[in-house]
Amino acid sequence: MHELSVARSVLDIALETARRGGARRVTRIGLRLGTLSGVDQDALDLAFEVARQGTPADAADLRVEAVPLRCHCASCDLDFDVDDRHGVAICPGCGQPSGDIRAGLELEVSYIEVM
Amino acid sequence: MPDTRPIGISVLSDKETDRSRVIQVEKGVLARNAELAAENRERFTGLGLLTLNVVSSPGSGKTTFLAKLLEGRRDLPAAVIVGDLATDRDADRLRLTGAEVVQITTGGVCHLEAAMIASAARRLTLEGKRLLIIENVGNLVCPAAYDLGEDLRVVVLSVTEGEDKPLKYPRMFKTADAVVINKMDIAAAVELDERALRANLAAVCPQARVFALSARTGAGMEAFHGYLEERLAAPAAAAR
Repeated sequence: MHELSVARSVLDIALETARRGGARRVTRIGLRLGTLSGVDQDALDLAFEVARQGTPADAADLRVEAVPLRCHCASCDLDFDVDDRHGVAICPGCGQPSGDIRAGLELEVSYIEVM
Repeated sequence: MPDTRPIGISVLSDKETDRSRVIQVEKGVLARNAELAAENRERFTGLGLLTLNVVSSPGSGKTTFLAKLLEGRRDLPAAVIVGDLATDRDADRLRLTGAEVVQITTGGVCHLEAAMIASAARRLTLEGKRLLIIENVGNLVCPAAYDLGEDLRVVVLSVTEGEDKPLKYPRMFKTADAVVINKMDIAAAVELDERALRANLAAVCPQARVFALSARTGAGMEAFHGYLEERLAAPAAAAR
């Protein structure tokens, strides 16, 4: 994806939150990243290294919590985690594929650590 | 604020204030886009429009498909927002169908965002229209993450792209309402394994309706026309 613009948006959220919280520096940014967020973590790390320069978050590290794809099976009324990287979600109950996504699209800043 | 504390105790007190703390944020990185998409959806639904976000790889025949779709429904008042990296040729082709067309030239940006749609929509007369088609930039990765306020997401792929395409772009296919397999007229020449392609679609996106057709010859278009008619008749709230 366009990881540099994603990194800039992450920083904007972190810096704005820090400023409103009266903090001087951001030392860590916690990010929730779904399997199907469309963001490549290596590319995001690299982009973040560039984007953070010259900001109050220039020494901040990015702590990524990976959120697995989770789908729902209507006939079994069951939510289940999917570890297939191609998004093939087979219900463990009935063996049918599901397209009903309940988690795994996340791209969100969950917390920041500041000083 | 200047530090006015006397030297001597500042070391200790600095340590105190330097202790890091956590601020909970819980904010989506694309939250602003999601808000604007919700505003678009409310506006378009309020106007009685059915809105399609049409996505594909470059060269899938998306514009030909849309031109054929609109030609077949000249009775239906339609508007089109075309996203293109640099040219306005797609817009010119679609204008021939009688639809009102505006072009967004993204200048290299790899996807359309809800804000661009809101601004393009202001250049259209949407009152009295029934159908709004958004032709997204040719790309199956980035546009998948951006809700534009559409009712239906339609993915177009052509028979030359390989049977495993749905496995390579799971987010786009998993969030699709309909999948169009285009260029069926050359399926034999490119040795398409249609069963394998359909099996992959059924595994990745069982929720999506699949239409195999040729926009060039028109074969198979009637099934998509039927789908469009069905969605136009559906109450707006049930459209997605």
